[in-house]
Amino acid sequence: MCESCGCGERTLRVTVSRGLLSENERLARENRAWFKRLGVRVVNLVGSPGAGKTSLIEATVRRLPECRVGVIEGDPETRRDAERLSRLGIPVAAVTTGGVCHLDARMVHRAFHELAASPPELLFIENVGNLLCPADFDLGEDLTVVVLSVTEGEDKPEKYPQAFRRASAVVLTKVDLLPHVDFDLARVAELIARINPEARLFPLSVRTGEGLEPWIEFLRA
Amino acid sequence: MHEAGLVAALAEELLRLKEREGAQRVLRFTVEIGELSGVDPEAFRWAYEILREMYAELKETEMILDLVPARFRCKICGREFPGDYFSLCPGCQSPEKTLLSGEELTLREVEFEVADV
Repeated sequence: MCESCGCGERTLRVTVSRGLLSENERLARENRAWFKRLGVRVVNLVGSPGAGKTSLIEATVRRLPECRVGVIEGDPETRRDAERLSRLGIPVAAVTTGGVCHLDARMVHRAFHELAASPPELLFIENVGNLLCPADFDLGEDLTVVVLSVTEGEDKPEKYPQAFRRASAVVLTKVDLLPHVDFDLARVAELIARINPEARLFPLSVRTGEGLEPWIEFLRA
Repeated sequence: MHEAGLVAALAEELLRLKEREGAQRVLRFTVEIGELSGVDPEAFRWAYEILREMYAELKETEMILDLVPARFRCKICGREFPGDYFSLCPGCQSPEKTLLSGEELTLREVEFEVADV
């Protein structure tokens, strides 16, 4: 009861304790169940623009000829990367987020409808180029993989710890450029281990092919 | 960060709860933001101020932000300490630790005005 004026209204206090991302988490659980039912292994690739996510997918597809690979390709604008991947002759569903900085479980759900009729064995979700926001959004994937190029600088794990926190693996791309940049591989490995001791590390170069084999083996396992 | 998207989801949740409780108004609510959640409290508040203009029902609604500090427990010696993902245990220098708090992004409590029946 409102004490002062007797207006016949009172205050009701409700404890909610509901995560602000809980709706996304619910949809991600649905995606996960769907992928599992169809036997699809899902890898969410997260990394800055230009880290080499699309190139990594291209190189991986070429080295996994026995595996049916599909891609959900997220981009804020344009379908350029999706078109580039289609040239590999694999199914690609493009998600143009209209400027949104990350993919969420709903977008992935919609996009996967395009692929579900003939489901791939391995599905890459190429997230929007961004090391910050995608970290918060579970898409229902089995593996989250951070793609970090050596040209981005060795301070990235310190600046963007959330991205590395839940990653199953970190792929360090463009290692053929290591002689030309200040990037201490051992230091970065130590920083990543501090945030996430379980994350596997794959230094590689798509250009020279160096280091690709362990990555392919990791995906096969 | 995507503070705008987060507050939009928050507004929908508040209106849904208001409906569920059959309340007249949402008076105030409390959101917990962990120090390591990646959400900037100032950007979050700013996004809320803008969003509020779009929802007539929330114009008078007060948002209380509760900032939750990051705390860890050492997996080796059990000591609890504040810090970030890179902190070593101040007792035994081990990097192995469990996060106790600091990643919250939670609508904790809502106060409504309801008609007395």
